[in-house]
Amino acid sequence: MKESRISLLLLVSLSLLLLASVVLFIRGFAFYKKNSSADISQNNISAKAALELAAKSRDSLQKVYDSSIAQLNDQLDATKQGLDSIQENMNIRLLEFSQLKMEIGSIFQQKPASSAELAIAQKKINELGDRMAEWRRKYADVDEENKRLNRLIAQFSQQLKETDKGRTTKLTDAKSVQQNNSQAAFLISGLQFKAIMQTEEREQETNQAVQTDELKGSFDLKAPFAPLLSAEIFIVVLQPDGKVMKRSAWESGLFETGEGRKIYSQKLSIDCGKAESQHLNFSIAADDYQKGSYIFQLYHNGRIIASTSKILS
Amino acid sequence: MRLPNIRAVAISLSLIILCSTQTFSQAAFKLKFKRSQLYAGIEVGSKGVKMSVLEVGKNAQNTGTFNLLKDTSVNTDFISFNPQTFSATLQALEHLYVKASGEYQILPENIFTVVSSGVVVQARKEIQTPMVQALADSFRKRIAEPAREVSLVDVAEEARLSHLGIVPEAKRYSTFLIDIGSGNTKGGFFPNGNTKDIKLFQLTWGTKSVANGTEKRLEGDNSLPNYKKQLYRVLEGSANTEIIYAVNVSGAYNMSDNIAFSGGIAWSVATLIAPELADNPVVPVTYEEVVVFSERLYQNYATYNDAVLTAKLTDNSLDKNAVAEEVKRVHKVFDQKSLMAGTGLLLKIMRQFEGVYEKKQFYLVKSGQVGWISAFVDQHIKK
Repeated sequence: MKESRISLLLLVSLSLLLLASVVLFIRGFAFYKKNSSADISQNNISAKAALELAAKSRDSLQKVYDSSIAQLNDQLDATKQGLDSIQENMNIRLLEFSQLKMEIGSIFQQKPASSAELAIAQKKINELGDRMAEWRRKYADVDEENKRLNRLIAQFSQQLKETDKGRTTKLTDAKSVQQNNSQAAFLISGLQFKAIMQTEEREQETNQAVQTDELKGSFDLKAPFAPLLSAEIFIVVLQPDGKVMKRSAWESGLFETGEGRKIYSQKLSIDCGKAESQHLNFSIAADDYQKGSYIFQLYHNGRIIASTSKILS
Repeated sequence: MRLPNIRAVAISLSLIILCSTQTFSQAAFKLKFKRSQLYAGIEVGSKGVKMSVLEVGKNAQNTGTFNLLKDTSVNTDFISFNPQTFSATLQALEHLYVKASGEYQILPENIFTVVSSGVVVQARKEIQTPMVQALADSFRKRIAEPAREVSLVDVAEEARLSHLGIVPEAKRYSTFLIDIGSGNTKGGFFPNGNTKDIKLFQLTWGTKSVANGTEKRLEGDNSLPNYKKQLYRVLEGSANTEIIYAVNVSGAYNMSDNIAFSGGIAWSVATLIAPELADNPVVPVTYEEVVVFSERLYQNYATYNDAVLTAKLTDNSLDKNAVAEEVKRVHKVFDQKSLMAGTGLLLKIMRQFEGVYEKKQFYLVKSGQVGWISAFVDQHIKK
């Protein structure tokens, strides 16, 4: 009897446990259901708000992006114009910027973009901003370098102008000297041409053809512009009848001039290496002297570099 | 009273006669210098008797300037040493002497008579020296001048006289004189600072012998290119060997600053290269100028025509007709091929003196054949 009472009690307990489990399940299901519908309505409200926020955020980012791109384009244009020497680097940078620009652009093309995409866009815009800042810094450096180089170029140009001016002045001086000396590399001064009468005791200058024993010439020569170490100067003494006086058949010959070949009375070899002025003498004797004007000419490189005359009566 | 008048008339007549002879002498030649003297040289050579008349200025020895007025020759072939050629030679000798003293009014002391080295050497070889002596004696009798000097010159003396007569004092010891003849070349220089010792130089090649050597190689192809090719072979062959040896042996390279060439080819080249210097007895040239001349002779011979050369003259004081005449004279003596041969030989010798570091001054002497007369003039003046 006692065993049957224990079994009844066990059965009742099990039934009560089962009932309690069912109630708990139902209550739990009901609670779950209730929470689920509340979440959905709450979620609907938050998504709407988030979309509005994202739209606002996208517009502002778009503005930042657009202004950044515009600013960047302006700077790049300016940089591109002034920095040919770093063209290659710039092209790489431009490629990076273009890529970044495209990536950001594609994010904004996707409407509506998710918050993750917006976060990526934000990240890329920041990256773009960083790069722009870096670019600005580099641009500033390049600009500074450019200015420095321009200053150097200006300085060199100025120096070059001054050198040119100096050289032109020297050349002009030389030219004027050369023009005075018929465009030669020599400076001729103290040109003298005399008729000499020789007496038993001494030489005496004369103006009479009949008294003349020889003609003597002298001059000082300096060769500051001579390109060579030695040069030849040709002396031509023209008689009143236009014929060339010859010091000796062995010392006269032909030389080239702009007017064709000419006969020289004598040839002098000049040492151009000497810095100081050289005093050179020349004399020519004839059996007889005509009355009239004798012309004494010095030629170098086919041009007259000095000339004078002497009249014998 | 009448005696002074007669004396006055006699003096006047003498003066007139003196002036007229001087005027005649002046009129016979176009003189270059006012205060100059006329001299004549009569030379008995192998082929005949030759007379040259020179005008020598008062500064001739300082300047080396003389003016050749006349060159005449009579062919007698004296070196045949037979009675006919002896007689013809004597006749020519007398004729030219009378012409010089009579027609040209040249004083007897200004007329020099010599027997050339060619005759003297040949006479010694053939033991005919007495015939040469007989010629001199007969000549003295004919002109009635028993004291007249007829000099027999040997090779060394001829070279010495030529050097003394051609090269001015200022260049005497620094100049090597080379006479390029037709059959040979000879010359010399004074190595010891005196005019007694002359170092002789001789080659068996001359203008004509080079031309003959070239002709022999033509083998029927007489074209100018073949002539040039064969001329090159002649000059590069035995001629070249002999020239190099002779120049080296002479020692002239180290002793000379100036190399002067005389002879017919020197006159021709000088006249054609520098027609402006027609009245210069000497023309300075460079090796390069003669090389260019040689090339033009072959490639453009017509440019050495007298008309072309005178057309290029820009100096109005030059006598273009005289220049043209001298150029024509060259072309009468030398044709294109013989000019090429002579110039080739000249260049071959010049080449031996054309150093890389030391440049010699080359001269072409136009009237080298009368140099000895100038030397006699100098000796005569010093006496």
